[in-house]
Amino acid sequence: MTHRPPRPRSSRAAVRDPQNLAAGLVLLGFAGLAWIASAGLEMGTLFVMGPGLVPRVLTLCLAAFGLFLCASAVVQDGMPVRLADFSAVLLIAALIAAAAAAGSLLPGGAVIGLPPAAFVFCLLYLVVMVALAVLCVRRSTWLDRSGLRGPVFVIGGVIAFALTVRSAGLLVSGPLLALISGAAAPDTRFGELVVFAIAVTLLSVGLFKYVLQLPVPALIIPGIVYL
Amino acid sequence: MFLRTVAAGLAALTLAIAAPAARAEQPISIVVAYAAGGTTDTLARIIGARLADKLGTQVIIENKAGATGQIGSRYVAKAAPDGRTLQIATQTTHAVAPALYPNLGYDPLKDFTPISLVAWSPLVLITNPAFPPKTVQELIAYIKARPKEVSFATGGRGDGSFMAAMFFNNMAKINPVAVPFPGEAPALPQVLGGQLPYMFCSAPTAAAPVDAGQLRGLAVTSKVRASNLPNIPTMAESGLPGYEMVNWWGFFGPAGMAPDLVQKLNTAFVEILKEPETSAKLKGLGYELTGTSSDEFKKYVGTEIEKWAALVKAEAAVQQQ
Amino acid sequence: MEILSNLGTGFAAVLHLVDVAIPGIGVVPLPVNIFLCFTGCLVGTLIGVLPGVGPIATITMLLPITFGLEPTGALIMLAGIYYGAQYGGSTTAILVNIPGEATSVVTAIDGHEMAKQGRAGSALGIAALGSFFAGCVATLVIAALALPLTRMALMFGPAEYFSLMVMGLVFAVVLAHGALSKAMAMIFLGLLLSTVGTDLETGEERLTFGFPPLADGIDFAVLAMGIFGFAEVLRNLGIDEKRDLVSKPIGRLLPSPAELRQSAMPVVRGTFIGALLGILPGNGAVLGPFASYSMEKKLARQPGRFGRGAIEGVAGPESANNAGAQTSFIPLLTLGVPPNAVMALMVGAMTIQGIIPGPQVMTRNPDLFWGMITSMWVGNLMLLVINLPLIGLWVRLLRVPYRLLFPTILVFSCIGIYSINNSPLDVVMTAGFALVGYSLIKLGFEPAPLLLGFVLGKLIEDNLRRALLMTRGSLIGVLERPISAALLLIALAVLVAAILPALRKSRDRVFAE
Repeated sequence: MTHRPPRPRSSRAAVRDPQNLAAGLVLLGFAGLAWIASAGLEMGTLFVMGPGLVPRVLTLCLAAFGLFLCASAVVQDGMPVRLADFSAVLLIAALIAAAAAAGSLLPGGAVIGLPPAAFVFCLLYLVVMVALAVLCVRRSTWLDRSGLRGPVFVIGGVIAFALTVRSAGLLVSGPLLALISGAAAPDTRFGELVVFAIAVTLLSVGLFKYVLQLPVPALIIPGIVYL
Repeated sequence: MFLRTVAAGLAALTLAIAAPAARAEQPISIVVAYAAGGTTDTLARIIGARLADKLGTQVIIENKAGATGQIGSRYVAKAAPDGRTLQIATQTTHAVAPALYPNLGYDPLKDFTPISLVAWSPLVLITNPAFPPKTVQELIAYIKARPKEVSFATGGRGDGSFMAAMFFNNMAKINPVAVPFPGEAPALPQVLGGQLPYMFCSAPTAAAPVDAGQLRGLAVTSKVRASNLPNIPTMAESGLPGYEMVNWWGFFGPAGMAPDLVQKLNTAFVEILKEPETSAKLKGLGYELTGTSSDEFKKYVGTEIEKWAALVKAEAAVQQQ
Repeated sequence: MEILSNLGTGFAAVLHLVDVAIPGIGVVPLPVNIFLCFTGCLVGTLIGVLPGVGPIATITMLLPITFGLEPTGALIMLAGIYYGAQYGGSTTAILVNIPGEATSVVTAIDGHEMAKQGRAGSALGIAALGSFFAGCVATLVIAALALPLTRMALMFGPAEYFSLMVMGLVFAVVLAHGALSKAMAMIFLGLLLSTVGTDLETGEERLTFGFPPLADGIDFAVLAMGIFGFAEVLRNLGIDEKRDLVSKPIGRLLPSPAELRQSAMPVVRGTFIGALLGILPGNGAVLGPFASYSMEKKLARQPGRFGRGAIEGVAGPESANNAGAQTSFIPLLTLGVPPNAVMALMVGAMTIQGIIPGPQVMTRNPDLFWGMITSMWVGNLMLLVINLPLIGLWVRLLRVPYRLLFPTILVFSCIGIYSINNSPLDVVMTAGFALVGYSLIKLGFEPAPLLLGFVLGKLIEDNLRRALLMTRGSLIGVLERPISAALLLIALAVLVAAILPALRKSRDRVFAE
């Protein structure tokens, strides 16, 4: 068994700054997206600048910075990249891609007020989240180490809020958000969270709806209550 | 802290339970396709407050701004025709937009029920006082003598100030450079400071600085002189006969509203405009009041749509050459 | 002397007693305008503190209530909401790193860092005191110099605004405390995001991928809440972060004498810069805090402290913010031109009352004009009175365990975002930006330069296009204008000053990590 000191080893590797390499690649990705999106726009002249000129110039600048960062990753030492930091983003990006693919296969028309792709995404997300919640009970350390726990439940809570705020009202969507996102913290105690979720929701309904008079529905039960 | 939170929350809950009876009837919402605070919004609020008293229902002003009024208009076009969703429309949303944007997403006549044309106001051709031309003819001659040298300010494509200038350029056969701003308000300081020599500006906005001598008014765009700027000649008086355009405001509902519902709302609007206090306030702000019937309004919008379509076509032909 | 008599008119209008019939007591003369001012400040503080709820939504909802009021009182109350909200916004920025307005982005940088170190009390205290000083000075500036300053502001054409905003971008470079290349990349990403939406000149949709909700561009609150607030929550929930904000004792509730001494000059300088930029009708106030921050960082003996809880980084920008909020009333009062969306609402409120905003307000409605100006001073005093005692409460709020604090932050933020446009989609987009922001942080990027690029992007592009239309496509023409050229020179000097030491340092920095 050879002795492996971590530092010197990394500086002799081909990629000495993985974080900068990843950062550069992400910038190049953004630039690529923007380049595609701005393809049909007219550039115009300096006198009469077209709508496409500034986005194109900015895209090129962004790409230049991306290349610079990639290049610097080979030249100088830097921080490592941990998969756990990005696992949730990658997972959700995969879900979006899957939903977009499935959405284009499904017949058009809205499903419960959502475009098909968005509906599929919500469905997939819910399945994944519940699966993780079950895992959470069994092997919570794995969930924490994977880095999935925080983002998946926080984003899940927010999506649940967005889906229900208009159709069911704050009194439903508020606790839903608090309870789902609450699962994101490893030291959550369920009983405490329930009490807190209800209290926070009531407080916010009072503040937003009655003190500030914002037109946010508090509770909707179709045909019976509209608050 | 925690107890206090709970207490406040419980208080809110009590309120929430006590309140529902009052909201039994769904309120009327007047959709304004622009941000709060602008001229259209102000008009909607002044008239909306009176409408609430008149009909005894709650009236909310809903600002659905964006895409030069298209987002709000699309929203109303798709709403239920039960008289609970109305729109205060302008010539930008319901006459100019069809000419400028082929993929508009709504038809001003087919997707809407006209209720009443309530108000209009002219635009004023204003210049910085230091700018040499003092009349419309001098301005035209000045621009013709300096091809491609003169710029002017507009409130952006589709805005009244933009269309008035397009009409003016087309009729006077001149080709100055339009510098667009997001609305009249940000454009005005540029003319006040002399960065740009002139612009067309709606009379309610232009009246104050013209009165104060900070701007010079060369002409008004309406057929008759404006009641709050009686000393400024009309375009026709200034040697451009046939030039007429105004900013107008009228109420629409979604297509398919019951005739008696339209009649009820029309009567309410017409009566509101006749109230001495309301009409004095609106006239003081620079609006001319009408209050037409639904049919008259429909006919008027029809002619407006044709007028702007023809102008945009003619202008496109000029640009082609 | 004239100022004194004018301020006299103002105080008379503010303190004006109105006979009010109170059931059970009878008719009592009360200073109604003072109550309205207080109400405005209180509501403003509240909406400022609540993440996402901005003054626009609230003032729009309150407009109908002001119908019944007399014009002076109505405007005093609305003005109170505006600067109260600016003030309250910094509280949220400091406590939970959520900037509600573009102007509190800067406060979040060092303010939240201070809160993490258990110095939230000092940060909130200096924000309150600095803002009070700035408000007082700015009120005097408005009263004494409104007219000459307006004339100066009118010298700004598109070319000048373009150069000014470019200078602002350079400030964003100074703002960053990490790698310079990454900060600049974030600025460009912010600029690129600002081009999303409908093009002003042609009405074409840009970079929207045919997605209709993007047609109007990305909302600032949605972006800021996502990449700042929500991303911060995700980061705190990360694997190895220490999550409880206040692990140390609460600490002082007010700045120590040493901190006060440190902050004195930044407050004065911030007030000056903020007041000056606030006058510009093209929303110059937004630059104030950024300008103040970069100035303090440049002047500081150890610029390295900035970004790690430097009190000057809160004192200066907060003063600039409040001074700018006050002086942005100048274009409204003297020209009738609103410099931002909230001021546009003020124009609406005046018009609904039958008052035409513009140069004549001062002569035709002196009570209203001077009453409003004087009320700002009264309002600032009230804000101090309201906020200093609240600091204790806010700081104690951080004691709530993070496992309960973050769901609360999320609930309030989501409702706030929803209320901006009543759009659930905005809430989902915020979640999306949260993921983007979280990944960017993990890649070593800072979100602050991105936000500044985003805020300035639209202004830069539109003004550049206008300037080039006016010069017929000649870039030299933009440089020929003296103010514009001077601003660009300053920008260049600051940029060089920022880059040179960074180039020298860059090699050492990497090894220090």
